[in-house]
Amino acid sequence: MLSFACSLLAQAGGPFEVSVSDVDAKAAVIATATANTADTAEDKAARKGLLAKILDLLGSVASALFGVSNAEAGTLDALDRSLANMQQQEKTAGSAAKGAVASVTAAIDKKLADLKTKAPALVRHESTGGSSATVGSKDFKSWFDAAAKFSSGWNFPDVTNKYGQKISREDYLRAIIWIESRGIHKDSRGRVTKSWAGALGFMQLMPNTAKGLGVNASDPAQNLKGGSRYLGEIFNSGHVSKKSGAEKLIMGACAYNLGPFSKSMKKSWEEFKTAKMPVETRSYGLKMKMALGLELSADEKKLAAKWFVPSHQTVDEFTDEFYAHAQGIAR
Amino acid sequence: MKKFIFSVLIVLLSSINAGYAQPSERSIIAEMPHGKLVLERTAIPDGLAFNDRITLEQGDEVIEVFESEGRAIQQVLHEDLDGDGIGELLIQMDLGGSGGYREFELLHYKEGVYLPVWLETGYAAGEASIEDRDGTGHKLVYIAYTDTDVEPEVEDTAIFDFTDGTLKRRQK
Repeated sequence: MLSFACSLLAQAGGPFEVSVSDVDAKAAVIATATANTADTAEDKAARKGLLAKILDLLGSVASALFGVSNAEAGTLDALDRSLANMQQQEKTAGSAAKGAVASVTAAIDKKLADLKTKAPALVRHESTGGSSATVGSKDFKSWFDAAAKFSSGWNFPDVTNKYGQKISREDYLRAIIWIESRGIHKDSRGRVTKSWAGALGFMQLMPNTAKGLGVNASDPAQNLKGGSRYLGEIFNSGHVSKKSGAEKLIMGACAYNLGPFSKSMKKSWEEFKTAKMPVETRSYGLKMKMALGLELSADEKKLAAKWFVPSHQTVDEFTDEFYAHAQGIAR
Repeated sequence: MKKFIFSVLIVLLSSINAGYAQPSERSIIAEMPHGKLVLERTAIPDGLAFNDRITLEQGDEVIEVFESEGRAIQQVLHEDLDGDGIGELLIQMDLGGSGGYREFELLHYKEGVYLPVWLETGYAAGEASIEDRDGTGHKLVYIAYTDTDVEPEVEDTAIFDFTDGTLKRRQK
């Protein structure tokens, strides 16, 4: 059964790999030990209990790993918990079981280390000169810091990304700026970035929204402040405010594009991403995951490839580049 | 039965300042034998939410017909779609997001009450009309919008038929 459980785990593949031969060997050790021992009822009960514990542990690890595709934001936390649990059990287990537990523990440890060191190097944004106002402008950091002060009031969830980093309010602001305008408020001729719909600047504020926020959307500093206050509205009221965790971060991004009071914002991200909604808004959710370093599921990668990833890049390459640019803002 | 066909177009872009200066702004959508449909628009201070609502005033009695729940009512059309002589309400709301998308709701007047029977989100900067364009005596709902699902985005019109108590898209 242990071998079977471990084989299943190995077949699951994904971010965590277990050597089948190694696991089979550990299983064989346990089986041999079982055969060679003079059995008493207590011994049998003890071994049975131990095996059950190991299977439970492997089950919990498998759950954490299967969860990668469904609840990527919690992957690291889940693996961390599994690792701690494994280490605790290792202390109390017998020698044969210790080997099996140690093998799994080492594999989890290695995977955690891999995940936490995989974050791409952040891009340093440079000024583009002329009359431009971009994330590379010399005043940008002060504009950004002033806008970020408004984020302290956001009802912001506690989420760790796939690189083991806790996502901050500033990280979220960076992501929105990159998704909305690629960090360009004004081009080198001084023209304010404007969408076909009339949205303006770094944070692509619509004129009515800017008026409601009491800011001049054409001014770069005010545009950033307005966007930060708008995100406060999204996180603290409207339908997204009732959500939690990574779901709140992703749907918050969709609300920024669609509008926080749309009844469609009641949907979960799982429902929303395949719902009859604008591709732009659903892409926004995927881009936010990329910009924050949240793992995309296989289905989400397919959608990203279909909607916006250039054909010359893989989704993973695009994701790394997107993250590096977004999170390189105002560093 | 005398038909009352009255449609009101509210251009929020040009009047939002007035909306902020005056907490509540009233306009009459339609006057009917059984009452008066009134639109009240109210921006909630220190925020982006709107508390717009449509009421039916019958003498001193005010009946709540629709609440915008944070969305800003942009356009209200009052047209009879089911042929009973009393108009349905098609409401377009501005959502305020960076994509410029709108949300539409249809309220069907049936047995003395307005029932929400259709909701659609995601028409970019749309403008709606209810017309009998081909002269068949059957009115259709037209929503002109920008299709952002294709690149570059294109102007398009969604056409809806009122059947089985709701709106169904004729094409696409």
